[in-house]
Parts: sequence; structure tokens; C-alpha cells
Amino acid sequence: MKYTLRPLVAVLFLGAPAGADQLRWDTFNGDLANTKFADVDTFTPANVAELERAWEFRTGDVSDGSGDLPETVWSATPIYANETLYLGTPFYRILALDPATGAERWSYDSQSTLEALTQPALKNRGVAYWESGQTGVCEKRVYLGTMDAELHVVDADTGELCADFAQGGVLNVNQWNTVNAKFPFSLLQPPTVVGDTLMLGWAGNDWAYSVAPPGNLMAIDARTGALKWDLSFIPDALIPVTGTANIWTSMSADPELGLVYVPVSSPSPNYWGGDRTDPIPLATSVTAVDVETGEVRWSRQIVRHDIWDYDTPSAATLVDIERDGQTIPALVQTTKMGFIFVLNRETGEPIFPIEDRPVPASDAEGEVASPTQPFVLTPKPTNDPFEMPGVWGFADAISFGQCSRERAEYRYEGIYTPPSVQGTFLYPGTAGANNWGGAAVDPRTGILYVNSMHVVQIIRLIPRDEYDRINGASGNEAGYYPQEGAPYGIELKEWRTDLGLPCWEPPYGTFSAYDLSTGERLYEVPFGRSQQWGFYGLSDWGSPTLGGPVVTAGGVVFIGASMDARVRALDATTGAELWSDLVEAPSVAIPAVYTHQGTDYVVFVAGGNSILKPQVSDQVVAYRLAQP
Amino acid sequence: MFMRRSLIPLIVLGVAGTALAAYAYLSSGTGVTGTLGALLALIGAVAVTVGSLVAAFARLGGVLFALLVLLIALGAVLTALAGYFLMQYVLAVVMALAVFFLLVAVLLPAPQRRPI
Repeated sequence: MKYTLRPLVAVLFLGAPAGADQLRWDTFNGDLANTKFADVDTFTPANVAELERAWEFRTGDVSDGSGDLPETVWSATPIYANETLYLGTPFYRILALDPATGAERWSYDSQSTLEALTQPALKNRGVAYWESGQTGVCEKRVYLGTMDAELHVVDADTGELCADFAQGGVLNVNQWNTVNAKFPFSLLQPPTVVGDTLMLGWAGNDWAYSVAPPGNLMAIDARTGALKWDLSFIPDALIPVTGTANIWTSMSADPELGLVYVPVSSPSPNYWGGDRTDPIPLATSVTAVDVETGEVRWSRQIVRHDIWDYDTPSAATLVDIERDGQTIPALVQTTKMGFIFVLNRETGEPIFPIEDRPVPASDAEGEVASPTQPFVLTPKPTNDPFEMPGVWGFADAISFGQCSRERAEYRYEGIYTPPSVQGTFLYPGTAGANNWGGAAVDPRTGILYVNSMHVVQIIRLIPRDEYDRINGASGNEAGYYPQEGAPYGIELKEWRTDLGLPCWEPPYGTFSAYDLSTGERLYEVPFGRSQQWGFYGLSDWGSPTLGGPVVTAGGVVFIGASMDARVRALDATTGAELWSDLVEAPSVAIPAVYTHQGTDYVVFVAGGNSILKPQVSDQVVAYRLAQP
Repeated sequence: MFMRRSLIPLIVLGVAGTALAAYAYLSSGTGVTGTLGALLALIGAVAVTVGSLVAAFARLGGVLFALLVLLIALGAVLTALAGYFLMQYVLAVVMALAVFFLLVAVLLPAPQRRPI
């Protein structure tokens, strides 16, 4: 990993010409600081409309679920390193492509079982890259995790397994899954590489069990596969009654401070916590962990006693900000709730105030909701925490008042209204205001760019005896889920009319920019277009989004994320759309920007995700400015 | 053969709309391939075409003809709206033109034959 934040800023201050070097994009978020900042000024608002397809590649690893295989969900960030573009696929293969042409150089097939062991779909968010700085076989490596808990490691030049890593190049991570092992440690997110250490979390089978494997962070030797240390996020006393609080998304790190910043998810069961009312301080938190020892340096819990599945969904963004004449090493954590936590990354102390506010009590049997929750009102939340979107008149009229009736029927008293038997509005929905795409920041200006989703769901607790009589189908972030071992199963659905129209007012998605030195929101604009039955929503309705933005030195933001299967370039100054192109499925990944042989490219993976709509693809498309 | 020549532009536009809607529904890379909305647009365009053929070639009485014209206009307007919301703007324009030429055909007085 060659980029940390401070060297990057130093390079900028030294005035190195942008694009003079080979710009790497060698982590899920572009760099370890998760800036998603590309130091290229080639793409500008004036010329970005001239983007053209440089090449297109199809992996062949795609399923819509209609055949023998589960559907695919593909959110891989392409990795540019070693003058090669590396991809992981939802069939758990690694592909090495020529960055200029998209031609395949080699591929590696993990032969992983293609079964939806813990997720409703075959999921992959890409690969990780490490190099030792020496030359020779396996001195540059690519890592791929699988649904069945294996970490495969191959030589970056040849795709051959690295025999000195674990068992012939394959690490069985499930060997450490020894407590409440209800499901395998699915490795859908590539490890975060910090120096010579792989930081590894896992994904599990959410909403299925009350007691589940306790979430942990594993530090693994990048060369040997040996476990250096392991950190659990569940107190020992609570392990018999709960689980998860795992890390299923990417992480960021500050090598100078020797810290990795860990986004920890919620404990199980996700929507009822009557068996886990004792504090679990590290659950739903951003936690700073010493890279060498695994010691927790500081932790900031962003939801207390989480009963909304408001996992910390993305790596924190690390950036130095100027405030009151001081340079503050900051950490910005976007959240499912829409709050933007801005903390001192050395200490965990808030840079903008965090207010403890009273929140509603639960009326579910055995549940004791936290009486207060932390609210961050500066920077302004991407989603209103106090009032959910109103009833959309058009849908209400078409449905003969169904939306109004349901608005009166279900419980809502602000963002932290507890799930209930009566039914509770969940806003933002369980996929969050913000998810794994996180935010981008321009470290030169301290301006943060973030897309957010405005979706209303209804969560209903179903008493066990009633639940056992229901044979409801479950899908991706919607349907019936058992929470086995809890007194309630759940039903989770979007708030829609019987005809499928959203009951809530648009916009359904927005894109915003914030000045991190003041906390001021510079703009908020509707982003993307929603789509149903093929019909597009109006441009000012926006779209739900999954995936994140990239900001470039030329003042252009690249982003896919929207459900209309378009990839876009935005003006970073205003959020206005400058360019778009139609791809085959929503690009729910983070794009990568790289410079190869003197040419700057932006590359998108268009994999799709059924949370947005049932459209999948195996398409990879790279763009560059039109050649003279 | 009986024919209302003033409806020829409508027939041409109906056929063009059908081709455009079929392309949107069947061809990959349109953004609406295989969707219910694109299918509805295709059905609408076909209905406009068939309706305009019947209106042009069938000897219909005043009430029946007026009803058919109304249905064609409604179909074309809805198909134009569908085209707009499917982001198939050429289809939307073609169907809007179909409405225009339909109105021209039925509202403007027929040209008088010169006495022999």
C-alpha cells in the first residue's frame, strides 16, 4: 500500500504534476485512508462529456437465479496495481486484465462451492493486493475470499497459488469459527492490507439466529497466513446469548498512527435485544485498533443497543481538516442512519458535537431499548432523523388511501422508534442511508462527497407461534426472517402500495457535499433515477443508491450506484450531472481511477444488486477521454 | 378500394412507433429491455397502428369512427407518455406526432374536389 494520507498531501504540496506517476488504485477504497480521491486532473467539468468507452469485458460469472445457481451480487472495486487490473467475481475467481485493453492475462478459479451458504446470493466485493517490495515469486500477491470461508492467495504475475501461505495458498478461516458456529465465516469483502498484515472480518447469516458466532477481527500474516492476533467485539459473558457484531465491510488505516479503524456491525438478533440488554460497547461502533497488538485504542459506539440493524457499514474516511487555525487528524464515519460522525482519529473525540437525545421506549416483550442515542446534527444528516418522508399523494390516490391508512397504522416517533408487533416504520431502511460505498473526500479542500438513500421500510415483530405458521419467502433485505431463539421472527418490507408504488414522497436518493472544516452542507441534489417496470422516475426524484463516489483532482465525481443502471460524472462543485452512460446493471461498486501508460481511466463494474432491482450483469467498462 | 388518405401519416407513424417500441423491448442496451413498461409501450404502438389501419380502410359510421379516433388518440397519448418515462424519447415524439396528425385528419375539413 503506497498511499497514506499524509504522503499524498505532501506530494500535493510539493506540487508534483498530477498524473505524472502511475496512479494506483490498490485497495477497495482506492487508498488506506478511504479518501476515494484520484490525483488526476485530466477529467474536468469542461471535457468529461467527451468520455468514451476504452474497453468492455465480461467475466461470464453471472446468474440471475433462474437456473441452478443463486443470483449474483457483484460489488467489486477493480484493483489497479502491478500494472494490472485485478477483479474478484461472484463465482469466486480472480481475473487479471490488461488495464489498457481489458484483455485477460490470467484467471484463477478457487473452485469454491457456488451455494448461498450465508447470504441470499453469491456475493463478492473484489480482491486485495499486497507486495513485499522484493522481486520473485509471490512477492506480489492477490487475495480472494470465498463464501465458504477460504482465503486464496495467488501470485500477482501468474495467478499461481502461493504455496508458502497457509495450506498451499489456501487459508481455512473457518478453523477459527469455534463458538456458536451456526454458519461459516463468509469472506465476501477482501481483507484490508496494512503493511504486512491482512485485517480480516467476515459476513454471516443475518436475521436468522439469536445466538451466532461472535464478531471478531483477525490479523493475519500476509506472507504465511498465520494468525497474529484476534479481537472479539462481544463481551465473554454475553457470548452464550448473542453474536455477530462482526466486520463485513471494508476498513481504513493510518499506518503512521499504527491504527486500523474498524466498522463494527450490530449484534444478533438484529431486531430484538431482550437477551442482550447488558452493554456491548464495541457493537455498532467505529473502533480504533492497534495494528501490531490488536489492542483497542478507542471506540465510539454510534448506536446503543442496536435493534435496527444499523451496522457501521463502511470504512471511515481519514482526512486532515483545518479548523480554528489547527490541523486536526480527522475520521469521518458515514452511517446507515444518515449521521456523519466527524472524530479526531487519534483520540476518538468528536470534532462536531454529539448530542445524547431521548428516544422512544420499546413495547416488545423483554426488550429494553436504550433511553438515549447519539445524534450528530452538524454536519447536517443526509436523512432527517426526526421526520420520515411524508405520504406521496400520487401513490395514495392510486391506492385509494392505502398509504395514508398505513401511515396512521404503524409506529413512528423518529429514527430510533423500536421495532414492534404493531409494525414500525424504519427510516432510513435497513440498507441504510449510506452503505458500503461510504464517502469520498478531496484532501486538498476537506470537502466530503456522499450519496444517500431515502427508503422507508416497515419492520414487524411476529410472535414466535404466529411466525412458525408463516411460510413466507425471504429475499435480499426483505421478506420473513426467523431470528431463531428470539421470541419474535420478523417481517421486513418496503412501504409500497399493493401495486408496488412507493408510498413515501421522493426524493429516493441524493448526493451531497460538505465542508468538513465548518460542517456546512454545500449542496444536496437528487441523484440518479429510480426505475420500476422499466419506467424511470423524474430526475428530481433521485434514486436509491448502493456503491460510492470517487472524486478527482480535476473537480469531477464519478459514481454508479443508482438503480437506473447508469454511471455518471458529476461536477464536484455543484453536484450537477455532466455525463452518463448506460450499463447493463446498476453499478453498485466503487469505481476505480487509474493511470496506465500515461492514460487516465475510470472503470466501473456493473454487477447489480437485488436490493435496488432484479438486474444482474458481469460487465466491466473502462472509460477514457476521446483520443485525439 | 376505400381509403382515408388523410390517415396515411398516422399509419406510418404507428408502424414507426411499433418498430421503435419493439427495439426498446427486445434489444439489449436500451435500459428497458424485457420490462413490463416496454411491453406496454409495444402493445400501445401496435394498437395505434391497427386502429389507424382500420380507421383508414374500413367504412365506419360516424359514431364508430369517432369512437375509434378517440381510442387511437388515447392509445397514442398513453404510448407517448410511456415512451417519455421509458426514456425512449424518439418513440414519445413519434406518438405525439401521431396524435397531431390524427387531429389534423379529423378536425380539418377534407379537401374539396374540383368540379369536373
